[in-house]
Amino acid sequence: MEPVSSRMQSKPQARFVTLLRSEADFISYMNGTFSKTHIAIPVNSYSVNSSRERVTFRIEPFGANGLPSRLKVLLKAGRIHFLTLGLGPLIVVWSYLRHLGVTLDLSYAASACLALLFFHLAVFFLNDYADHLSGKDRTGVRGSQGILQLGWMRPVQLRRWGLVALGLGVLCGLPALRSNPVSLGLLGAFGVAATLTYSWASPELKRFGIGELLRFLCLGPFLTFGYGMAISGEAHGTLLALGVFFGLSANLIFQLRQIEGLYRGAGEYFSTWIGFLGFDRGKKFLLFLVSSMALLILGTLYFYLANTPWAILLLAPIIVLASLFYHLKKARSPLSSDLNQLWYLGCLLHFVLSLAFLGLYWMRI
Amino acid sequence: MIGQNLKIFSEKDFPSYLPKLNALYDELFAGGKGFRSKLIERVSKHLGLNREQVQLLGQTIEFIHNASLLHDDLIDRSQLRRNKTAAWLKYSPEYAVLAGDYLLARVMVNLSRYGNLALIQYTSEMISDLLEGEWIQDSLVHDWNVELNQLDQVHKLKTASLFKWCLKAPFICAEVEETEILHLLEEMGAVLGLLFQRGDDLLDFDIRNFEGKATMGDLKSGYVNSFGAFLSKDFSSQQKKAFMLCESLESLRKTVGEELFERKVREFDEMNSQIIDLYGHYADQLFRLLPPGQKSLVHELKALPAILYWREAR
Repeated sequence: MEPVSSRMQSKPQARFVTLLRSEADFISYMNGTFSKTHIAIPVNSYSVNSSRERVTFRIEPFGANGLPSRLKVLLKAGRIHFLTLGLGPLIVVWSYLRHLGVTLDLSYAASACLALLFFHLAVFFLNDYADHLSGKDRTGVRGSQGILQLGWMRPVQLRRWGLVALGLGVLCGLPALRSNPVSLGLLGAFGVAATLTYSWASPELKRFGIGELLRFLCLGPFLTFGYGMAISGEAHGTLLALGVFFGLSANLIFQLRQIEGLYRGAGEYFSTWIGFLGFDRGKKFLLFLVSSMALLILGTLYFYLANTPWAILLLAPIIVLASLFYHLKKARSPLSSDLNQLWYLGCLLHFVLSLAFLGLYWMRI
Repeated sequence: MIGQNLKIFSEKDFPSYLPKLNALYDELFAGGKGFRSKLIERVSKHLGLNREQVQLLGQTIEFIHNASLLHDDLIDRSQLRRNKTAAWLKYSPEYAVLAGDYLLARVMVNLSRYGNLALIQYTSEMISDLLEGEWIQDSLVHDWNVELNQLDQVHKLKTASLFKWCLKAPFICAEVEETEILHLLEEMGAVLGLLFQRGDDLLDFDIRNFEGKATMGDLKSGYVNSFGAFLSKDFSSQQKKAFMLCESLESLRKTVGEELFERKVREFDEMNSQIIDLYGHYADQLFRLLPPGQKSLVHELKALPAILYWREAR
């Protein structure tokens, strides 16, 4: 067997190793590069992400319990359920423009779609790696059952996947940028600035909703408007309005995750809007948000789409909103099972909303 | 009375002009096994604490533990405690609440007279954790879909905080300041608390119930304990409904299926065996850090999971 680090050699039968962040071996254990045959899974941390952090690793042979297929690993690590956040609006924008009879450059549409897919994967791969290194994935109530915690992949390999996906995203996105370089460049710059602003913003700013605002804009109106410009070369105001629906539902997903993680052990709840509101007011806020979305859809149906064929499809998201409302209302604490995976229902809402709008415009092409 | 040589409760500690107070405490403390104060004694003897210090620590933990029992029984409307009528039922709900509060107040009086500020601070934080745990636990009654990791959060506050205190408080009393040692004791106490709770939850399903405790109490009260959550995790809604309605252990095993039930017990034990391994790792680290005169403590600590989880003789 390949010799492992000296720490393990001194205790060949040890199943656990505890290291300080300041120790030389620490990063190699975190990255999974300390051994070619074994993997180190963090099971406990003290003083997470501080210079005094102490992490206890469980050492086990890599793949001892069998490894799943690469596809399964990719789907889990890539959070496929979140793909709706990007792909949903893209498909709706495409069907809207087709409905208007706008000439679409399919190559730009395809390149935008591929770029989105790769950026999506890159965000989650690199975020998971960063959370693993910082210890953020070790602070949650419900723990993390990602691929690194399950021992399905070495962290350093996940980082490589993330960087490759990022590079591919940039390559695929360049053709789409040619359609309207100035406007898309501005939108892209805004997205980058928004990401950096959010990352560096003080907890006070985050508490007062700057994250919510940026998320709403970047996953809503700016996304749909940007798509429209990328694939048609023209600006369409209606796409901004369409984006409002997607921005609200995307925000809802993240806020549902925040209320689920609203517990003293959940780490960064102080730096979120829901964390600022607390459980009681946060729950009321989310109930208000869910109700408002339902009213918005009903209002749109009544005032703008009253005699429009297939507009009835927009009732489907209302059913999902009703289910969300029911579970939220029942929840008695942040640990209530009614909040379990409620954000999945949020993803379903976003997906159903996309399908409803897709159907609405597609049926009228 | 409770610990071998510790006298936890004395009528002289409480005013005799408060009607029924001493009678209530007399019954409350008479029935307890005093495991926590015994743990205090075990840890303290390796640290060279004097009798008064051990008495103070033992009394503190038993007062806090029994205060939580008084409140718990009222919150849950439990009719029995240690095979006797619960205090809130025998005396009154008001007296049960006040008696619990009075024990906590007495803890603060005793500790502040002793004067170790770090100990006062740590004890206050522990009481705060305990109350948070009770608050959150109340929200989980009749929550049939609660998951094991959610219950663990409650147990970390309610049960584990007391065990952490039992390991760490003697060191604070002995004015040990090495943060690494204190942190390890916290981790070990957390594991012991978790194991104790999970072992206790298994008793409710008559697993290793050597003491012949009443079973199915949690389920009948509408509370899914840790093994219940583990057992019912992948149940369909129909199976969950049937599970909720089980009135006896026989009907539960029939509903779940004997084979599945036994398999789940084995899996639960396997999961907790891994936690015991982790505890052993922490104990080894503690052994390296303790001075020679205190290393024998680790041998005592290593024996605890067998007592708390596997319910082997103490």
